Amino acid sequence: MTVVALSRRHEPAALLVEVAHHLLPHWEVSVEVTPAGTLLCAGSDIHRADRWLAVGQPLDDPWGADPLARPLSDALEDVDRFGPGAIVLSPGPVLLLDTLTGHAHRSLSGLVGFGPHPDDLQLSSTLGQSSPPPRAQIIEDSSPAFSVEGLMAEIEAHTPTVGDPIDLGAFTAHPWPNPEAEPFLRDAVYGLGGGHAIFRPHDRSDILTDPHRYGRVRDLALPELQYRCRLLGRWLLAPMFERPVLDQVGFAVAETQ
Amino acid sequence: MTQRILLVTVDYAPQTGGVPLLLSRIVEATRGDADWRVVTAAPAESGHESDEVVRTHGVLGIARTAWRQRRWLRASPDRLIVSGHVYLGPLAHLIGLLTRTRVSTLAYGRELVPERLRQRLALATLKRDHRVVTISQHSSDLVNDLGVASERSSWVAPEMAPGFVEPAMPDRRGPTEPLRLITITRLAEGYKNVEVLLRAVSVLAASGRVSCLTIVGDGPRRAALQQKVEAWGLSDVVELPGQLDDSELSTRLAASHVGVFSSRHALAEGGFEGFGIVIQELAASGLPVVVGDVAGARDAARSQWALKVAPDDLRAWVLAIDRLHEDEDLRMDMATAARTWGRQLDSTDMGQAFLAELTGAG
Repeated sequence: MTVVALSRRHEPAALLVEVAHHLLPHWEVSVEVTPAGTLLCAGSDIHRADRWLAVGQPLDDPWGADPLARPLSDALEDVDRFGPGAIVLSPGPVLLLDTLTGHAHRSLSGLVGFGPHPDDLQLSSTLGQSSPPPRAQIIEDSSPAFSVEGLMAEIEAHTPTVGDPIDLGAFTAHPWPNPEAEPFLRDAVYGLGGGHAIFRPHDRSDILTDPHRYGRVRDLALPELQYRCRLLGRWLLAPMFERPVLDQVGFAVAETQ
Repeated sequence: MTQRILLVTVDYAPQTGGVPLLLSRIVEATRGDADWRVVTAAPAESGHESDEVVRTHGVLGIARTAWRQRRWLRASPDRLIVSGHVYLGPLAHLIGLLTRTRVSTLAYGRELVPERLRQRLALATLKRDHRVVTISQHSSDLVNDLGVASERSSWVAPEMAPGFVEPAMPDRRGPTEPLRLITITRLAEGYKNVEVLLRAVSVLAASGRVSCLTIVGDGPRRAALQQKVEAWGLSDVVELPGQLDDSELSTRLAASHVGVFSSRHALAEGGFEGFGIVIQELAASGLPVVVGDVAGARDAARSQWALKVAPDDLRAWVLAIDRLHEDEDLRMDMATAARTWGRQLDSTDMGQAFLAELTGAG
């Protein structure tokens, strides 16, 4: 689990108190004052280089299915070279925070988001985080020969053997219900090598053919599922939301962040 | 007596695209070696009429018109029917049976992966062919997978001299000058993978490494791609001018620094490049080319002027283009090699190589 909080209105001690109930006892916690505000980092999978802070698990595989990881430092080298938009070069769950401006940039899959939970939003609001998930703009774009069955076969061809389903509903992550995530708490997330998990719902053909649902699942359900996976010490991967799929479904969900 | 060859084909010049261009170049290049008659459903345009090409409508029209050529064909003891598309194979074999003529087939790529039973049945006739000639190792492998014996199949790279004007020597870029990229592609299928170029340019333009991507070509996806360009904030960087004539295309190519060709192998469409003639057109115009390393494109790209990348790997695209931005010596070396390579292309040699393989003399 990883917690990063950035606030313009809290002194370090006050921010620590505000976030304390999210932190586990054995975690190493750092708090510092940056140009963008007070920054608190706790947990693992965080890397800092100059003004940039990256959180997550970038992958080598463009399909975001093979759990072979790339170091977070690689992702930050890309950002240093090409600018913050280069975060899209890192498949997998990755979030980039600019400690100079406070702006956040996430990977295309949306696997690390700001969370749909009322407490996350409240926390975001309290802490002055202002970057919402990217808004999806639906662009109708179909190719006559495209078939969703073929696309699913292609996703499967890139996915290593998956393990058993992981029951993400067996514990209470939040007291607030998330209707978007609810259908996926059981029999939609499976174990994967490297201590990861993969999002592979039974109704993925329906999701891949409905642009509105595709956007809702990505923006609202996945952050919750990621949060629950992180409580189990796993990173959730979702190849059906990575760039090769995003760019060939029968519609386009353009990023307008 | 000169060998007579009846070519039955849906596609032919003056249609645009790789297959019509290839077929017409083979016929033009080998007129002295064989007496051709082409039966095609491709419509004529002013300046393209000839006795050699008989134009009709639809597959039934091709069947009727091809049958009317039987006397012409049988007048020569040395004769051959060439099916210009695998799905015309049953028709070619029927005429071949009735006229006692061998049948060879030219095969390209996508059509070798059947989607329907009718297509599967048509492909079954390939096993009865005298020769099956393809345009890449990838397509040749597909033909062999369909049961055609390897000794009766072969491939010839369709390396043709481009129709546009000969390029000047490449110019050296200024030290801070960003790259101008160009691609030529049909905007009909998703497997052309144009989006990976848009996303790569989005990253590279933001850091001042690329100033322009020109996507030459037209098709039903053009409007959607234009919308994506606008939604991703790339209107100042990406242009989609549509189909261009040779003169305008030459101008755009001469103004570019790097060619890009992003096609992928898409299971979702059963789509891939049989060869990628455009890759070689880009090179022949004196451009280094960044190419998706898959299917027939792999055979079209030459190491002296191409950087091959995994087509789905956005990061690989960005790093390859950036490499050409950062290393102007490398870009110039590749551009010069591409121009030199392009100047030695000879459509006559290519046509004769195809003819030799189709007849079995190769």
